[in-house]
Amino acid sequence: MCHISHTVTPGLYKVSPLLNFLTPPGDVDILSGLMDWIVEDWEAKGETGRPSACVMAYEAATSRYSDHPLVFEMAEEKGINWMPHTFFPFTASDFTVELTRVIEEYGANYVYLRASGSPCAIIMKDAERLGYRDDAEWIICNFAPDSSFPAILGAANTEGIYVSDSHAGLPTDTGPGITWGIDLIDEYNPGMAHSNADLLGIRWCVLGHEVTKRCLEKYGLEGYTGTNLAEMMWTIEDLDFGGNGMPLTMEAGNIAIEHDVRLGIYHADGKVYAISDWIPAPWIIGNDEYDWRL
Amino acid sequence: MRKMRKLLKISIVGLVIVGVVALLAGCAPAAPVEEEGEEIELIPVGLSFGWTGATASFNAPCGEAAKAYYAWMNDEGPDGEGGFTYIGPDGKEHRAKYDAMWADNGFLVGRSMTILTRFAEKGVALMYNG
Repeated sequence: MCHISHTVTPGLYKVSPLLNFLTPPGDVDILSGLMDWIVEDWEAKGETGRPSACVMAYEAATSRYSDHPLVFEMAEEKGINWMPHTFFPFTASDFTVELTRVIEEYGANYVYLRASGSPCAIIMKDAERLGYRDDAEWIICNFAPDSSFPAILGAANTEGIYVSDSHAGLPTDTGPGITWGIDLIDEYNPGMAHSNADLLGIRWCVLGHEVTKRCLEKYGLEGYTGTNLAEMMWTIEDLDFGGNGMPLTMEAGNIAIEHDVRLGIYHADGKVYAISDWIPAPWIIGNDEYDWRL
Repeated sequence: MRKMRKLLKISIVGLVIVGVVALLAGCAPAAPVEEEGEEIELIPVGLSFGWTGATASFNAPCGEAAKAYYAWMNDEGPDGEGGFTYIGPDGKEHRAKYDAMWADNGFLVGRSMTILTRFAEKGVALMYNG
């Protein structure tokens, strides 16, 4: 069976044959790009010394993979004090302890929240309650800007919160793929709020259909197998999603099906607007040949 | 005695072969169906998403969008006639639709494995996991 999965698990790069294709890029890959932005932002603010940054993440294997020695190594060389990860349980409803640690103890200037929209919104509510909101720049991860985030936090309260986007497009993007995707979802799910989440579902299926069609064209219905589908995945080159994320070209051995990251920011209307171009995310995890220093 | 052992071995091997063939047959896509005189191939695809559970706020809309896509593909498709066409290795044009199966994995490992097994038995070769 060939899989398209929303996870980043380094071990899957070592499985043979490669049948599991992952989105987004690895956390280490994403954080390396984020670090460059942190350094730029810090200098643009006229700050001196080294900024401090950290990750707050829900307790799961996928989060633990982001707690990688390379993150701290890269940060050190880029001039960032990267503090230890802070993990919280899925069921947490109060983040006083965690926030006190990252703000008071770590003195974090940048906090990366690795959780979906609902817990991120509650974290931000607690940050507001504790008076920490303005002590750091808050960046929510790629799967956090779903519709629950502004719904729980309040649209106006989302203003100024950054988004690390490494998925599909945003509803605020323009492009035929965005318009078509939103119209399609409205037709079959009228009233559903739009976010990066549903646009990712569309992007996945456009890719999945393309791979399926190629498999059927080459092997016929009898050859509709996971192995043959995976073979077709490696033939994907410049697949255009009409603005719903970047075009995709698969790189031999790299099972990530998203290769770019960008930064967005919430406005007072509760929507995310891109504030950077798409930047290629380096393939670090699972790539024995990559030297991030080059 | 030797003949008995040989017979037993052949029986066991035969049973295993029958079992494997049955499993593989069960794992193959369903036979094509006919719609208005046209043969339509059904391509099974699996959608396993966390409609409930810790990441539902992201995975539920992602899954709903995937369901919408396959519904559109079957209702309209790229040429507006429902499904899609492809030229097979036999040189002939085939029309196909998707048999999109979906299930809530609740972001739980055990449930995800159960869904995987169930979908594999129904011939799914492409699976989305959210």
